[in-house]
Amino acid sequence: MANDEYDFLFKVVLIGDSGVGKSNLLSRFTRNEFNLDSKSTIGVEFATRSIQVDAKTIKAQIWDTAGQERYRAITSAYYRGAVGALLVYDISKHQTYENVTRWLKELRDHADSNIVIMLVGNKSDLRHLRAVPTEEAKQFASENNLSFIETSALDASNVELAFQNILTEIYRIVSSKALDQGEASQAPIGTRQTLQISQSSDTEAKKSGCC
Amino acid sequence: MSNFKRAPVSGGLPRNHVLASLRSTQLVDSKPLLPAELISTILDFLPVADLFRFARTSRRMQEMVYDDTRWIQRLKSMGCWNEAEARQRFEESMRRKQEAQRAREAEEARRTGVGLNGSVNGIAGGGDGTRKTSSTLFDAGVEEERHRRSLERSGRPRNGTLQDGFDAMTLGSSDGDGARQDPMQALGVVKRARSIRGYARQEYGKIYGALAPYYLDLARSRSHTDPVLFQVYRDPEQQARMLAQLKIFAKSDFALGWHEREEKLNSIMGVFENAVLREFEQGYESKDVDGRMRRYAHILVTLNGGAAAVDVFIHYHPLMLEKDKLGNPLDCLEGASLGTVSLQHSEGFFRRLAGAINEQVSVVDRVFPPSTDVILPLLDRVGEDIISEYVTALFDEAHERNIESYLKAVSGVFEQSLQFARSIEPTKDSAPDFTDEVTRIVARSIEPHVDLYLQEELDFFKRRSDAEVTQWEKRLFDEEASTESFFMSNVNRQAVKRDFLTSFKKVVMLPVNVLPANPFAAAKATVTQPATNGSSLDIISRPTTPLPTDRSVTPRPEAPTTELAAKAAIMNSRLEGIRSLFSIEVALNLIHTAKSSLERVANFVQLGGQSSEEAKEQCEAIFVQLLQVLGTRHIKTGFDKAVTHLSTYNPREVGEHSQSGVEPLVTFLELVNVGDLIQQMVDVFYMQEMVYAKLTDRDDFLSPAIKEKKRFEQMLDERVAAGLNKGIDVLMDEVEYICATTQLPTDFNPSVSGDVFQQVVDIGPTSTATRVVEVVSSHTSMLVGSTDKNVLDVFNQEVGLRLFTALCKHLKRQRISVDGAIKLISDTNTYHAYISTLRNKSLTQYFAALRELSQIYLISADHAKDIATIIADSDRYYGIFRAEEVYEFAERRADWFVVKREVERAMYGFGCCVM
Repeated sequence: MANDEYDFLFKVVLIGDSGVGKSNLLSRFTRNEFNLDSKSTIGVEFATRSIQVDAKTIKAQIWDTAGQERYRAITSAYYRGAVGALLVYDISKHQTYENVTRWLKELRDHADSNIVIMLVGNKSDLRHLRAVPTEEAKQFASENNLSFIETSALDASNVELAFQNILTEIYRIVSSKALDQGEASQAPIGTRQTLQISQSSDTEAKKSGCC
Repeated sequence: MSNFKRAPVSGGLPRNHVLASLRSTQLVDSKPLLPAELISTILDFLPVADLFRFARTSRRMQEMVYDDTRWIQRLKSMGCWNEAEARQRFEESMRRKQEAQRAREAEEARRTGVGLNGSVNGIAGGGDGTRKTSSTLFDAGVEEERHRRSLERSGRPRNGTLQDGFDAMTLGSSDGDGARQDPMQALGVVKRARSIRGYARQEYGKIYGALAPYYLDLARSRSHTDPVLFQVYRDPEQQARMLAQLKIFAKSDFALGWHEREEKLNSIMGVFENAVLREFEQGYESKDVDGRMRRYAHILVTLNGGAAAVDVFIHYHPLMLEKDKLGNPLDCLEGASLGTVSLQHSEGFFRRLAGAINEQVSVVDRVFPPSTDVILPLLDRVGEDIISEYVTALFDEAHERNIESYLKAVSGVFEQSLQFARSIEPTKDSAPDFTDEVTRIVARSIEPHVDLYLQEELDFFKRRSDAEVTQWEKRLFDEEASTESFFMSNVNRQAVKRDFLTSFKKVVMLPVNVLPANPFAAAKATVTQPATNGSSLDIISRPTTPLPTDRSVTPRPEAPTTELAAKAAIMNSRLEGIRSLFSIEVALNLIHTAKSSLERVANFVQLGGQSSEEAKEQCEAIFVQLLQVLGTRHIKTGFDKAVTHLSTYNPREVGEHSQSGVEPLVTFLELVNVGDLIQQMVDVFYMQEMVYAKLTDRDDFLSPAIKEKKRFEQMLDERVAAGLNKGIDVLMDEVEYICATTQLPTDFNPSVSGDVFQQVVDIGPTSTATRVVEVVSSHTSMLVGSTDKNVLDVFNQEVGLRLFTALCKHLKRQRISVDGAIKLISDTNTYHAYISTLRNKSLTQYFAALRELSQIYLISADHAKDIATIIADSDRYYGIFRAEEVYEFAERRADWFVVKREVERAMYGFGCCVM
């Protein structure tokens, strides 16, 4: 397969409350589709898309997880090996913004500590229903060391950019680490360099988990 | 009483001595009087003259004789009494009387002064007034009576003279003098009679006065030259009128010897009629239409309605004598090829006949008064003698030569004859239902042939359709060895079908050409365009000629038929895979044959009455026959064969699995498609030909056509259902076969030795899942649009459930590692995505449950507790899986023996206690 040719493969998870628009963000990004009456996701769905950064092909393997509470038991399985997370909330529903803290905690508990997290305020097309001010979210993001963006899967604004940003960020971290540490500490297959951060930071994550 | 009676008798004495005394003695002798009823009955039979003589015997007798009802009865017997008119007149006179009386009362009241007394006087005066008026009326009657008596007196002696052998001539003339006072007035005396109550006697008197002399004279006369009547009236018209009046008058003659008198009158009338008829015939022979014919026809009509004149007119009609000139029936068959009949000749025949009759219509208008109906009897005769003969000869000959040409001839000629009936112009004063009447007459001449025709038509159709199917079967048998099935290209099947159906509908709606052209429309065209002499060929060759009716669109039907044939050929070539089962072409041919038969038979529905009912029945019978041949003989065998193919299919024995579908199933589904197409064709045909043509009532559930149609549809549905049932089995066999042969053990349980991320790379579904979905969806989508939605739903549901079971079975044979779970989830997601396109809610749930189930493999062994939670959470699986079943699936984990203890402890808790 032609699109199997890539330089980096990053696993990115989409998390956030049920109904904030994770599945539509994914379908918008990978298939440029939007479905107004989509059902809530069962378990997890996968999709991939490749983008170019610095003349490198980066393949993103995106896990669209179910936001419903009853899938919490499986979330650890979802986070395993993820290098990036899009934490999505709905700008028209304040509750989903409040739950962001809980999702962050879950990420810290189950995922790699070096995971790149981006806070995404979805449904920016619903301006008249806005319940979460942009400034407040931006403030919160910078406090927690997250990147932040507002998107709309419906009118496709910023969707591309959000994924582009997070993948680029991961790429920068990975390539700088690779530069710093050389090839020694990695266990790549062939010429491919994949997910070095998760490998290298495994011990670190465990430590932080213990503390 | 006797005293009272004797007085008038004695008064009458001086005039007639002997008789009076005789009668008086008789009366005295019969002291116990005859009852009034008997006297009245006797009076009924007295001659009028004697009545009045009798009236003079006593006042009572006079009252009896003068009794108004007696005279009303006589007027009634002549048909001159109008009860309604009498009542109206009576009421009018009563009102006038009351008004007069009121006026008088007022006057009297004024005269006598005011007060109670005056009012009483007024009433008395009123009573007086009525009496006075009635007496005045009576007086008038008396006056009339006197006049009549004087007339009678003049008649009476004549009677006497006859008996005495006196010179009839002088007395006759003296009698004639009385009448001749106003012979012209006597002409219309019967018509002028009024119906007034209380005046019936006077009215009758007038009639009697005018007619009795002639009547009695006539009864007496020895030869037809004798009667005074023929001397007084020289004009045959007046003679006829008088004779007609006398005929009426004779009806009021109850007296002794009336029978002889009437006989005499009739014989004289007969002589007179014969004479007039002779004149009429001579006029007819010399073609003196406006002169003698007209005159004598009118005379005959005045005399007795003119039936004799009409008879003569028709009998000597040139049409009857020259019928051979109209055309030879066998011309239609000469020169026509086998199975056809050239209808131009019969058309010419009808045209000439119509021309001749229309000519006669104008003659009739000129000759006969408007009240007489001449044309219908004439047409009756024409139908009997000319049309029947012609038609019988033609049909018999055609029947002997060739059935098909016979069928065409019958319906064609019938159509022509109806046109002919329509083209007959009504006379000036014919009834509004003239055309219907004519149609009826014309139809009657063909009716005898209808029964045989209908029978033959059905037989013909039966044979034809049988032959069609048999021939096809034979051809198939010949080809079988070399036939290879191909798969139909799936391109736009529905559009092709719709296209085909549209053109089919177009063709069905076209009328079958029973007539090459409308001869009468053409004849009308000649009026405006004398150059076109009505030849149908002429018109056909020039389609630009504006044609008066749309029936003559002969050249056009060719195009759509061939277009349809071409489409059928295309369909057939696309459906080559099922060529060995049944053919849309054959179905089309059958329907076409049925259509032409139907249209021919449908003509006869216009006939009305029983034949029309029979024709309708026959139409239904043809339709039923069509369905039977099409259904039982053609489609059913095809389906049966397809189902047999399906049941013998075994995927493991078929070497070649590279095609996209299971061959016999694809064949069968295409068969369903074509079956559906044929059914729709039948439906369109039924609507267009049977319902719109009003041959059958679509709501009549007892009609054999509807029943047969239902049976046909039911048969089709049953076959489809049976086939689909088999089809699902075959499809599942194929699915299981794919699962068993293509699923690699490493798909869900990748080697642990490899890179951890290796598996994560190939994230899509396995090729097994893709192929299974492909096979199933390609087969289910073939049915879309070709079967009933309910059938489709049931089919999909069944397919989905069976697929689900097959997948579960398949899953239990696998071993799944945590990394392989990603693949499995992808697979279940693919299945789920496919199933949700079927839009079947309950089915979607099954596959959602499957998706939920696949999550348990994703959880790493470290979280055994979570696995236990998810296994136990039966809500997740929509009740489709029980915890035990999920547990069974969980056993398929690659690391099950590692986590088993943990999971069980978490699930049942006892592990903890033991520890």
